[in-house]
Amino acid sequence: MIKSTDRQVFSESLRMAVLADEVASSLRHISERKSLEDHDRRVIGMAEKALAEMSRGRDATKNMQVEESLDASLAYGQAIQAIQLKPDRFASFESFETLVASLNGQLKEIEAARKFDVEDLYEFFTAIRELAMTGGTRKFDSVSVSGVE
Amino acid sequence: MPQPVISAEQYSLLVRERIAALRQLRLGLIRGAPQSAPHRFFDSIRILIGAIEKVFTNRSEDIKSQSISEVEKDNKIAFAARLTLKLLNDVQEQLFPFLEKLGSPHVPLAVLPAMQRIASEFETDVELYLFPASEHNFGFSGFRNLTRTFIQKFELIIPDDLKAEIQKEAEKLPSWFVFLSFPYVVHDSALHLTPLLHELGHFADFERGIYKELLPIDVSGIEAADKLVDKICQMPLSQQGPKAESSQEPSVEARVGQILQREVIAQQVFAQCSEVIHSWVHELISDLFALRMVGPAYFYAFATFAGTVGLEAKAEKTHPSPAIRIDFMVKELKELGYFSEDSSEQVRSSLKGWENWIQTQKLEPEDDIALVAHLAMKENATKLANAVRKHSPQFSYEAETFVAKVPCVTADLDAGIPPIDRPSVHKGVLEPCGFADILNGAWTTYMFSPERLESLLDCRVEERKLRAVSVLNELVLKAIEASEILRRCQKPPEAKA
Repeated sequence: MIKSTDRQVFSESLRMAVLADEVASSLRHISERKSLEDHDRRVIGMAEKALAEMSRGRDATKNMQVEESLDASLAYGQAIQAIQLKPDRFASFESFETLVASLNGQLKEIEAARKFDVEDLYEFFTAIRELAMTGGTRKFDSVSVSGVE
Repeated sequence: MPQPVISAEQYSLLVRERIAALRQLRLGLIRGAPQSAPHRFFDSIRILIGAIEKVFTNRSEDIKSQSISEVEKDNKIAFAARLTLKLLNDVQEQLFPFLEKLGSPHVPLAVLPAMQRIASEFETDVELYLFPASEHNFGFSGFRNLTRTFIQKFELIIPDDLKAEIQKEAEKLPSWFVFLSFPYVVHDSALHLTPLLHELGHFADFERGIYKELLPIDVSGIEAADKLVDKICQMPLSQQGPKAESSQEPSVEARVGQILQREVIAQQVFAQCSEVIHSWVHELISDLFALRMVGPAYFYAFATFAGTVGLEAKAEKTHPSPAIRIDFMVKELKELGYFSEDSSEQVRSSLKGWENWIQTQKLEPEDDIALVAHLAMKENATKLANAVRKHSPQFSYEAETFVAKVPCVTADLDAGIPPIDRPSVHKGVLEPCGFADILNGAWTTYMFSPERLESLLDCRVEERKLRAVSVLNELVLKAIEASEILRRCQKPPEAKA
């Protein structure tokens, strides 16, 4: 059949891996220094955008709206998997919305330099990083043979 | 924190090795490339590899300068190296294949200028190439703002001075690189290369954002979507999930819904539905686009192609079934006037045959997700057709045009003459034959009146039909190429005055 592709050269998962790594790294520094630098503020801003994207993916799923871009749906899928990856940390949250609201609240506190409680955020974004880095279905080799039973 | 099992130093060496190898490979491919090769695409790859290398060097140096433990540094560098290797894998797998067949004798250069001209109607800053493939299908691979997209995606790890450097280097690159692939077995057949217009439709779709007129699509009213989630939730574990490890655990009776939250299932089902709907929207837009561009020629080309790979094929994740696509196209041809009494009798009659065939087909897919996509497309069919019409006003190959222009092309072909030009409204001036007119003339001759061309051939009876098809393709390729040259050379009459 007529095949058509518009694959991204660099996958969305890889972008998420870079973002999550930067967020985790910044959170670690912030927690040690108890202060934020310009780069940290940019990273926190990107983390807020990522959480917003996850929420948008959640809303689209709930309302069954196929959106223009599939990125939000992917982000929401990764968020769910991150929660499943670390149930001990996140099981106490009643719902996805509660968790995202809590993570957002923590980011706001950090941004305002009021509290530097980074543990939930750190665990969440390291889980996202692990998932994003291991995403994809790379085969180690491909085998094809004929004439052999 | 334990040391990484492959040391940071080893990882860094792997990165350097891969970068050197890719550079060497690229240089070798440039040396063997013909003049018509996409040289600016080679430049893009050079810029990207250089940028990835600089990002890695920068990150490594930054990590080394941090006041953290050596083990932590090693882990961070190892992570940066793994990430860099993934980026390099992507460049290697997504971009290098297009450099590997540049010298192929199976690139139909005769149709390339026409394809480039049509593409430039949507975006002038585009470099388009044809790419032969051994698999029997066609493909579109488009790269928009290759280097800018890299910067946007990874802005957090690219220092500002490097961003400026990459942007400066990329100034001379086109906005788009487009590669249209085709089965190389048909490289010399103008008839069987016609589906390339569907691939051009993808370019128009992505460049103009035609699909955005359709999305978002609300599938909440489609009962099949909700039912699918329910169905999976109710599915016995033995069918869906892993088997229970101990006999004490519930197995067949256990329901997936009790273990996995409905939310997780809904997310997965909806993500799959979204992906399929996205693909189908793009495919149907491209079909209608190609159809509006060249009318019945694309329809016959698609139907013939589908006939060779499976006319009754089921719908796939990536594509609606041929029957669904033909149904959409027949409706659009009706809109273009091909079922009216004034249209070509042969075309009208054959299209009625296809319309009857559709009645015999079960359009509803059996697969649940494909069914959701089918129902979503059915609900949005009018919107989809209107979106294509809105974005392709310059392309509207109506039945009236067909009747006015195709017979003289067919007459040339019947007489063994390549239909290159025809008298224009200006006395004594010949104008190039239209690309769509030539293709329709070719398909009309092939489908309805091959005998006249066959009768001109002096060969054995059993070879005549095949030889006539071959001659027809030669005439059409010559006409497409020569009419395009004429179009480029000929100044418009008003400019001459």
